[in-house]
Amino acid sequence: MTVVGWWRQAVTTRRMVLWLWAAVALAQSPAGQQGRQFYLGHCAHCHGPDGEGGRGINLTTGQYRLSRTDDDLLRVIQTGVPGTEMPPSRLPVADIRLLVTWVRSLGAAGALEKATGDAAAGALVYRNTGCARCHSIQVNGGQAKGGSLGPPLDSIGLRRSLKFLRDALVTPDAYIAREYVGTTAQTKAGQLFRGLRLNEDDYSLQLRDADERLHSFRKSSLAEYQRLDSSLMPSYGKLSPTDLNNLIAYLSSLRAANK
Amino acid sequence: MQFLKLTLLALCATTLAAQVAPNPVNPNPVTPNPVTFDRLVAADREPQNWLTYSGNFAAHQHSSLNQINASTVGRLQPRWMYQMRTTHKGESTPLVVDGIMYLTRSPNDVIALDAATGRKLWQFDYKLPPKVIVCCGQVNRGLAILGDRLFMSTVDAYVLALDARSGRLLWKTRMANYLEGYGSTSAPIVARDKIIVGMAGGEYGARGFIDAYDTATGKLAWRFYTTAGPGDPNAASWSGDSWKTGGATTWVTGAYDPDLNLVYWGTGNPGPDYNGDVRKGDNLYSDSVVALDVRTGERKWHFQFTPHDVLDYDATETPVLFDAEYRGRQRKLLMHANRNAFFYLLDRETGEFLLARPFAKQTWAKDIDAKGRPVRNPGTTPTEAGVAVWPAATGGTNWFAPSFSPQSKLLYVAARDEGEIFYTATSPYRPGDYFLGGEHKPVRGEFPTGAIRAISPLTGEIVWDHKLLTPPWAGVLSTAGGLVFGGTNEGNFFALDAATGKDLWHFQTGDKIIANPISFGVEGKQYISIISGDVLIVFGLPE
Repeated sequence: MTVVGWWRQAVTTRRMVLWLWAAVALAQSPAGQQGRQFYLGHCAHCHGPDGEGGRGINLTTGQYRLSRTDDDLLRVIQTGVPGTEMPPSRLPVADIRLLVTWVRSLGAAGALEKATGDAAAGALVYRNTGCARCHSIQVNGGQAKGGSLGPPLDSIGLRRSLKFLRDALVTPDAYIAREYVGTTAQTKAGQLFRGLRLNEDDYSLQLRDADERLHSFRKSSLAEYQRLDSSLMPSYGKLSPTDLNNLIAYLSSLRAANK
Repeated sequence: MQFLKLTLLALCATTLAAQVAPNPVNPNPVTPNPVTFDRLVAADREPQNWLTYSGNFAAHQHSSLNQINASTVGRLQPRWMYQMRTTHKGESTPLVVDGIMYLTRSPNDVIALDAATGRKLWQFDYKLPPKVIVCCGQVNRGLAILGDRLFMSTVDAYVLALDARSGRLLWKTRMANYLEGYGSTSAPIVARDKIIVGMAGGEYGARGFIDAYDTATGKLAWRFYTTAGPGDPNAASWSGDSWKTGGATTWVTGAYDPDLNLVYWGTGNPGPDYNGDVRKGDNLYSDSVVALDVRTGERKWHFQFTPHDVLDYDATETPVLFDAEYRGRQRKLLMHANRNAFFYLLDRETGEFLLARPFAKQTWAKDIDAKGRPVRNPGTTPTEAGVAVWPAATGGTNWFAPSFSPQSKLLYVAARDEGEIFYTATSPYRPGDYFLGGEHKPVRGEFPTGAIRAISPLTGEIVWDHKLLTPPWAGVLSTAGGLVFGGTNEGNFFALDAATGKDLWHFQTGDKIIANPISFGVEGKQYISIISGDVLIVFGLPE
């Protein structure tokens, strides 16, 4: 490392430490604690008590695709994110500012979170395990490659913490996003279908099966139909600890900002 | 006697309805006759018209037309549609007078249409100031009419009178300061020479009231405050000054008994919604129905369903009036399918509690005692960590209309079986800002459902139950054709058998239905209308 390189790194590290210190100090202040209260009451339900993500995105990365500045973050909290489960907040503006402070401190805390596995090796695990059969990844603005039975993973590293990724791989039934619920449908003729529930009303049911074929049934033509409590994704707890760690490192490295 | 009268009227109406007679007085559908107060009182005699928000003063939300019935409903098809072209929600119930439909388009435009063809006659555009504060969408739910005047209240807290022939503005009166969170979204009621108007703003620490305005001049005749302040015999039901920001708003249309000259109006939750520590006491007259003398605005009686509410169980749902023999005595009665998931029966002359029974999933009350006061289950008060309670803040039902059929003598309710996690937080009062004291979130993993339920009003018993995939946001309409119409979040408009709940017909409209259906007739043909998304669809039988 050159002297200039060393100096640059030292400055960056110092800045980071100062920033972290400021964030932690703010978090411990009465205003920070008030922000924490609001966070626990209004956000933790989806984003997790420590911002680790769940139904909502992981907040510990400190990188939010819709919010670069505090004002952006305030606006997103106020208006929600249309087309997602993030609702508009009804908190007063002053309270949302406290919330923004707390969310920033969660982001600062997570900035150091680093996967222990090898991302490049994890990409091989991803390929060899057949993840792409159901999930897609868009590389360098190119065409998305993979299936559509599960969520696209382009920015999964931004959205989910390491813990969440591990839990999702080992016990996928523990949390199933609403738009990825599975369903079975059995026709009166006895034919059984299983797949992703795309849509449903009182009279009809639409699904995509494992071979990506689309089906639309009139409920009156079905002998039985059932929403699945279990995930369509099998558990990958059977992977070796090294493979699992590498796969998590790979997933965590997928951070497409425009998704 | 009143019941007998209503029954007779219903019988007359049914006979008339058999042919859906064209308006005998004025066959030209583009010049309606003035709607006198007597016509409003006897609205059931004009089944081809829909003269008030709920169809009649008793809020039956029922049509005695029967051309569309169990044998013909299978042939029902769209006859015309009107695209409102608004990004706001379509929650309006139209009025139909002698072949003309008067429709509000959210936020506060009014449109007159030929009810047979859907062609527009006139339009009134209302300009709103830029910063209107309403919790749940800039919506309007309908109009009132008297003579040749239409009345509407606005989301920026004004009351307007328009000329029904032209849409010309006749007068405009300010109700309150919209910048402090006051507004109005519901249809007014005409009561003799006054219009009675409710208001909204409970999520902003507004102080609730019910107003009466002179129909001719727009002058305020009286105001009844729904939080008991100093001088009110129930002022002690609020700690400190909490009555000043106590909510109890009046955002859904009530009902009216012209014989008793009492207006019945439901009131909303106390504010802040989820944190009751800053407003100790029963918080009267929140979550109540109040009976007010139309002449003076004086409270004749009140009944509180949910004292010291911390779960947002507004009692604003429209009360429904009917007369029947109860425990050996002929009574004037009031039914209320409440957001707290209980059905209530009250004596509407005295406010006496008669019975309560749950009609949707609930975990907050162990029982309702002999006086109508709930016995709460422990662990159902919001906390910082959150507690799961059924029903959700959106309730066992909500603002959309229930329907009473004088034929089947059943009350039909769109019911919601959904729970939520309730949290507390401290939020100090700041004018125009949310004043909630907490929040509510869905229960993880729950797929809430809904139903149309038929309730026997004298027992509270559920006679039938038609399950729906998700908790509905649309009201119901019963008809003398033995049908109940309703709508779903997934866009299906449907007809059920009023006696059994059996599904007889449905139509996929393509958008969420959050409005009340109505029925009317023009030139001998019966129609059913509903708003889906921002499109009004009128159904009829093929030519």
